[in-house]
Amino acid sequence: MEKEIRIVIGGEECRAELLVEEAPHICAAIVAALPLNGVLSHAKLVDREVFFPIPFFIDEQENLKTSEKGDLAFWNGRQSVCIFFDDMVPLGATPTFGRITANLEGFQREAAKVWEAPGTKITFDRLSASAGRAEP
Amino acid sequence: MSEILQQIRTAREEIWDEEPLEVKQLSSRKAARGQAATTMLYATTKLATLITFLNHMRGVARDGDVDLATMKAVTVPYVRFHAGVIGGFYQLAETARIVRLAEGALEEAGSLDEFASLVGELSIYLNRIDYWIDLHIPWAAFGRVFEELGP
Repeated sequence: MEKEIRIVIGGEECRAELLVEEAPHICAAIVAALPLNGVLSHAKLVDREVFFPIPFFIDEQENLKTSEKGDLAFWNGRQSVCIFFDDMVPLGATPTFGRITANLEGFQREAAKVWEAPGTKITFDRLSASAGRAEP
Repeated sequence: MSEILQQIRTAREEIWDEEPLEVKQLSSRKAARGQAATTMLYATTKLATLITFLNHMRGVARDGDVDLATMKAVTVPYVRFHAGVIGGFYQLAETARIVRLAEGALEEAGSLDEFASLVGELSIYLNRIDYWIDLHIPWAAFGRVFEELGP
């Protein structure tokens, strides 16, 4: 299974490590669904969090932890991938399946715009997939 | 049963990457004092409530220690009520059609697994509709105005 994925958000390309040891079922479900395309909304209660829905449940509650800057988590209650892009106070422990390891600064630049202008496109894909840019 | 599930999945695939026209039109559905902001806010609230209920019922069904007739008796009227709401003032006709489709299939579900699959598929469909609506709500502007108004 992939241990690293590429994330394209707006005009930025980033990389994220998948926590395949800590969250094997969630990572397997995410990898099986790649490429995952989404349209970003900003969280309304937690600051510095963006999310996008995916069309399936992942019921395993693996690697429940208090989210930190750069974490990728899955909220089964709304079938959403949540990305915590800067320091914030999370609502609680969330199943965490990855973390951004390269170009977090670029992710932050794009994600910070989502509060004022939601709808930024995001793609999770295999590293081997051809490079591209998501439309803002 | 499997045919209805497939119909809901197909409907979901059609709206997943392309915002449905009825959601685009929702922001022109005027409510009190000729504005549509409350239309959008109430629509997302109604959908979020229904989605939370469906996810809860899915979880209860998957746990398995419950009888199917009771699950139907609780769920079907609730889903039917929301189909009326969604297709009524909000005029989300296709969304209401999908909810009614699921409602009919829930009545016919032959097992808890079937029941859980149906409410799950309906939840995923409605989740996508709700997040399309969410994108139209000017949360940042609301936040600014609220703070300007003060306590």
